[in-house]
Amino acid sequence: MSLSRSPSLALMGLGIRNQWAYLKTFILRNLFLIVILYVFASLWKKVYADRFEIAGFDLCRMVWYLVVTEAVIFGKSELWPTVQREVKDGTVAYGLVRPLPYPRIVMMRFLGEGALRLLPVIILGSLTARLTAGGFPSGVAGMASGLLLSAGALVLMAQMEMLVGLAAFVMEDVTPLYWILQKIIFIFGGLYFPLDLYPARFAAVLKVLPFAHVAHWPGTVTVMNGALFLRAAGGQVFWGVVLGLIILTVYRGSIRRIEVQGG
Amino acid sequence: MKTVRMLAAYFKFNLSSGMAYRASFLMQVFGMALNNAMFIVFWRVLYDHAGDLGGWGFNDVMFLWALVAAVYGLGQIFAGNIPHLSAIIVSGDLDVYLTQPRPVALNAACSRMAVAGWGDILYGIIVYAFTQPLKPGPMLLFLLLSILGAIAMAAARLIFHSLSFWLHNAEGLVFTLDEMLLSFTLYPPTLFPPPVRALLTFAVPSALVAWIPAELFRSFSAGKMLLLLAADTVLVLAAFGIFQLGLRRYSSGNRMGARI
Repeated sequence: MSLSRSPSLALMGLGIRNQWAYLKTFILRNLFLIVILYVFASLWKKVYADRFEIAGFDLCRMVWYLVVTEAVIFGKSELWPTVQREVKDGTVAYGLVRPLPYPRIVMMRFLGEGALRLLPVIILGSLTARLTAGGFPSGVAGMASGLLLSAGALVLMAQMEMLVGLAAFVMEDVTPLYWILQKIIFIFGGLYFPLDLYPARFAAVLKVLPFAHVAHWPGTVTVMNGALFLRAAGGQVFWGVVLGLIILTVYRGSIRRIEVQGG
Repeated sequence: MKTVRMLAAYFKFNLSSGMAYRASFLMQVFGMALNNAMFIVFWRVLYDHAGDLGGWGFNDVMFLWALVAAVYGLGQIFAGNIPHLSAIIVSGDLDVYLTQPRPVALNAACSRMAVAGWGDILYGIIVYAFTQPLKPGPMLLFLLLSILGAIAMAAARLIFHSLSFWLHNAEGLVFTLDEMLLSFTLYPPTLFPPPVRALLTFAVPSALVAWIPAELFRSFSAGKMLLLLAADTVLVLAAFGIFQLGLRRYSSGNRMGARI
């Protein structure tokens, strides 16, 4: 099958086209990213006031690290509320008669939206970082590997959010689950700071978890000019496969609970 | 008096409605408390590397977080409809409040409760209990400052959402202002240069919501307290004034709707 005829890519394209119509609103809404980056740059400037480097990161690297990690979180659309709504109102049942499994349909649209939204977020973030902390601390290798790993991070986020959404089959409201997932990524996935700031043994454990592959690895590899890219990409592929299998198992178990009445 | 009775009725009804789904209610409350608690790790790690942030130690920042959590939680519980006002104004759903013989702004703002606000309050109390003195005086001051902060935050957010009367596609801007207000309150003011601090005192009143109350808690002064009360009063009057002014521009499409 040629790529242009792939249904998954067609769904991704649909996500891009849908999001294109709302791009201006999206950018306005994400001016908040400038605020967040400004607050963090101010915070790190105070922390770095009497030192040059923390855990291998100077101030410039630390702020640019945040640009990469925040870009993924700000750039992605929210998948779990759609899944929760469609599980509750029964729309998920329509997915049973489609040729592609429901999780893949939703995730491909999510990835299409994210692919388009990532770019303006990176531009806004880069401008803020340039003004608050200085120029990009890496070269082309850092930039290229950062973009690839950010794309991988979007895939992992889609998978984790899909699992949160599918929990609606057994829970009344999955919002608290998402809050907790989000904060785990913020604090233990390295969204707010590189995991190297934790004590070495704890950091080593955190670095192998899927959450680190959403934030810590894309951020670190980008500002360290592509170093450890293969390690990071390998981890993303591994967790992508594991999470994919979990989604498949959970989805197959969940659709047995669907009862369709009438048409 | 009738307005107070209306607010009490809203509180009672919204609480019992939220608790109708007991498991969901508890999940939201404890989920929110746990969600907030993760930030303690962030600050602990930061202070392990920083030591001091412009005269603010770890416990001072924890007080700020306890206060803002309580402030935000009170707002979510008593005025939980404020985050939806922008959409309500734009879609013409304000009609239903206009037909009722109560102040429109208060009626619209307080008609909903976000139950997760209880989780914020729970978190605020726990953080306070672990990091601040458990004496009646400071505890009462914390309570008073939380209430004042909640009123100031609700007033500021009412002003932001009132912008939708003039700018029809203001939801993105309102969202940014809302988040700005909350974000800046959670960090010590000494992180920012004086011009930014001035902006955050007068334009986005993060100072009124949290910074000045936190300073009052650190070293109480009756004069400063009176100034805070005066500033909060001006902010509240401005919020109602701006909303009323905006209301003159409001037009609906005679949309039919019902509140159940």
